[in-house]
Amino acid sequence: MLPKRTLKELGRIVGKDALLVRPEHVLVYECDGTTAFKSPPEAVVLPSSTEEVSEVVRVCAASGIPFVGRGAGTGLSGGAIPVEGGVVVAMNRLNRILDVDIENRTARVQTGIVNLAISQGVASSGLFFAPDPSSQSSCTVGGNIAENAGGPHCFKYGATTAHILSLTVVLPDGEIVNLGDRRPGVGYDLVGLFVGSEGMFGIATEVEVRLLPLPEAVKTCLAPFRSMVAACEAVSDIVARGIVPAAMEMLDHATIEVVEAGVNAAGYPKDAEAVLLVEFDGAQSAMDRLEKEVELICRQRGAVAFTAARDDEERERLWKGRKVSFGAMGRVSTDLYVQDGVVPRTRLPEVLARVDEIAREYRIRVANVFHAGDGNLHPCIPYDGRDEDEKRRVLEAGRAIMELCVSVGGSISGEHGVGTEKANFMKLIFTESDLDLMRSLREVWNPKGLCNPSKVFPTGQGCGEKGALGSVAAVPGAWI
Amino acid sequence: MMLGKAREVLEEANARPPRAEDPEIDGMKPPLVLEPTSVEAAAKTLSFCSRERLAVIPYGGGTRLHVGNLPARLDCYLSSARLTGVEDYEPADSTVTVHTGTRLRDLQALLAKERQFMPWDPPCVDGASVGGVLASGEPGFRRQPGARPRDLLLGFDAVLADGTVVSAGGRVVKNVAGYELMKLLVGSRGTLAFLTRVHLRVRPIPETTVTLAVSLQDVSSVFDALSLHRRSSLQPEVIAVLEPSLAASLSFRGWLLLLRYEGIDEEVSDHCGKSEDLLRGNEFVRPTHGESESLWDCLRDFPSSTLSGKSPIVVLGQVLPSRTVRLAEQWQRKGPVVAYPDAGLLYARPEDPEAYPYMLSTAQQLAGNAVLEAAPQEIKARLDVFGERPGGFELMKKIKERLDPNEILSPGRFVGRL
Repeated sequence: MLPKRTLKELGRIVGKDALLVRPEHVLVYECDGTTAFKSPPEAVVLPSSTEEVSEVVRVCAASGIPFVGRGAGTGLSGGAIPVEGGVVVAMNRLNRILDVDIENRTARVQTGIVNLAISQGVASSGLFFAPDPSSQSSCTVGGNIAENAGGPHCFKYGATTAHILSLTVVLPDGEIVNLGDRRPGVGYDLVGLFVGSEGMFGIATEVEVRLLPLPEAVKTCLAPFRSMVAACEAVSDIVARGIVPAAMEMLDHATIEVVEAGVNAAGYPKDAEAVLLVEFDGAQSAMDRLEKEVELICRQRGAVAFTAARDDEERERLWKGRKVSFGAMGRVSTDLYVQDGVVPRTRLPEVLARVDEIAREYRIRVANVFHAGDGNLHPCIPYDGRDEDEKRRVLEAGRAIMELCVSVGGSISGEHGVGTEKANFMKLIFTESDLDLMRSLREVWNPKGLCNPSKVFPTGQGCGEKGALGSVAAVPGAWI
Repeated sequence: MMLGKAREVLEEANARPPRAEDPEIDGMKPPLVLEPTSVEAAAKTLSFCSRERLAVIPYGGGTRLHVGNLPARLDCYLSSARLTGVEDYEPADSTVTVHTGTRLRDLQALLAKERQFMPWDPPCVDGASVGGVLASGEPGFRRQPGARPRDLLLGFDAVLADGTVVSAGGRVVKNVAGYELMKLLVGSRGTLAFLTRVHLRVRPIPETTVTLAVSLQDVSSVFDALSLHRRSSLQPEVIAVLEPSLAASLSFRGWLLLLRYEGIDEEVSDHCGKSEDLLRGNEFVRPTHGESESLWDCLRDFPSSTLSGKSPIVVLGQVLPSRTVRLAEQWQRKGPVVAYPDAGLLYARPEDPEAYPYMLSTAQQLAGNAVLEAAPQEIKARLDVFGERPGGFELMKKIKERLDPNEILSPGRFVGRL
């Protein structure tokens, strides 16, 4: 429990209605979208301005209290969990678009704004904000910045980092700095370094984002395959042909079954081993040829059909199935463990085959839904958290999958971040020297270590060893 | 003992005296050039230099080495010339692993066989090395997100100032494990580490490239033309604006607007048609492929300090996209200017060696900045060539102090004389 004096001070800064301390009020802040890891804060503040964030951080820094910035809490690596207690700085009241500059195609927004609200706010100007994590209807741009979030369309448009021009940041000592002023090459790229620093370098309060013109035309196609290997080969062929779709997403048979049994059935053929969703955008005049070329590639690789959505409604239905696939797993089990690994695209077939073997070895079920264009896998492992033995096998299989990704030249996270969940996997890909370099940068930004402590760097304990993977609820409405 | 150790390190680093073809920095060459052939040798070299506090300037092709403040000290060059070769290239993964001394031209030749490329066109492209492009962070005229060095560096091996070998990122196209150290090193101009090997994302060579050249009578027509494009859904890969004197040297009248469209046939021809509709009533040229490539080559080399017959002064302006042409209008009084309004950048070659303070202040009046990329030594000695200090400078200083406490890597050359 924080000292009364500190709570009084925090209440004075943000107002009493913006300070939460009762256990039932702070409970919701004990975890993010990965409910495996839980640790409640001692207090939650909901500041309404950059200055209030700065004052809160100054109080914490002066008293040695850990603090964690938080957006919507949809993260999937335990990045926003107050592992050491302290104060959660919830950014949800900083949710406004401050300025839209149509001529320069930028918008200045507060970081607590929901991702999709930016695109909705600028749509009338014919613009949109490209990063689209599947949680975009609830996640905040501040969280996207912390994790360098991806999404289906980052295959063409790049992850969050490509769309952030400048930032206002409250540093871990409370100082307010403006980073990035459109001067490439004049000084180090601190904006680039801050994006993806998982909330450990400070709390971003305002951001200038890049906007893109809405594409003239969009076409979404569905290709079911009888074999996952063939579907993956089609993806490689499309890329090798020099075609750059806006997105290429894959769902395997297990995922299709679950999605089609739910309320968001997308019309994916239930007998398919894999369905590939391919979307193009750009000039209307290019759509027909792109569709024909991709159809030819898919059929040559054995696609049993190839259909394009005829209207926006059909297009949205195809996407909805993909976007709710994670939440739909709630139908088959009480708990769910979602992995996020990346492999070179051409290694997808062998990696997926090996993931199947791992599932058999550990007697678990795995459903695969992934960003095929980027080689970014999301094996979903449904299980019953009340069964200790099954839980242990799930964790061990998760680690085996990570080791598999690394063994073929891949990485332990494509877009969810390292956070709490993967801190102990960092040594699979980095040496102690590599980690020391990262630690020394953290010390530059965050010398006292109070800003989002105990994240990213290995602790020496396995993630299951602390009983961390307690209850992983399959949350309807959680996304990957 | 000391001498024996020094000799061993120098031998392993293939130390040699400078040659005529080695680049100068502000009229200076160091007494030694080190050319290690392996990351291990580079590590031993830097560890030795760090202990002895010898000032080291890393370089690749040496084509952009002149950009920066006068070196505070200069004891040796650390060249990547013998760290060459492509290690792994998988076209279907869109990735390539390459040693940093590899010439960009050689890499492009290899990638072209698979109809892929790095969308980089730095000045003096024939001499540029892969590591040099990354360290300078300068991609040339394509500045769209997704094409710049910062977008395409997936991972690296590098040697830190104290000789520690580190890696970051990886060879996959999407990766958020660990901090984004790639962003930190791109554009750090050899002040934080010596890059030895990198993983890059490659891009498909566009099916079609078409350039539209439009002669516009006056600057207000340029504003109108740009505004019409900005408010449309058109996205040319590059937009360049040449003021009348530069346009005239390329045999065009008035202000010249160049729109470069890249992509698949149907899209490019559709967009070119729409551009022409937007600009109806103006004088249009669709140069042949050869003509337009030589136009772009000219623009690519415009900031090159060694360009014959040009002023030795090169100034880079940085300003909001919508203000780029306004600044170009002011700067043209001092000499030829090319502006890239989409990127908010412009290059000028003023005739007057004392023009820089005027150019900086005009840029600042538009909330921008000006970098003095090339100038005689006596002019550079008087100022910080990077212009105004950027936001977060204190953090940059701390990062530099932390990673290079003995100040041996390109000391004094970066912004604020870091």
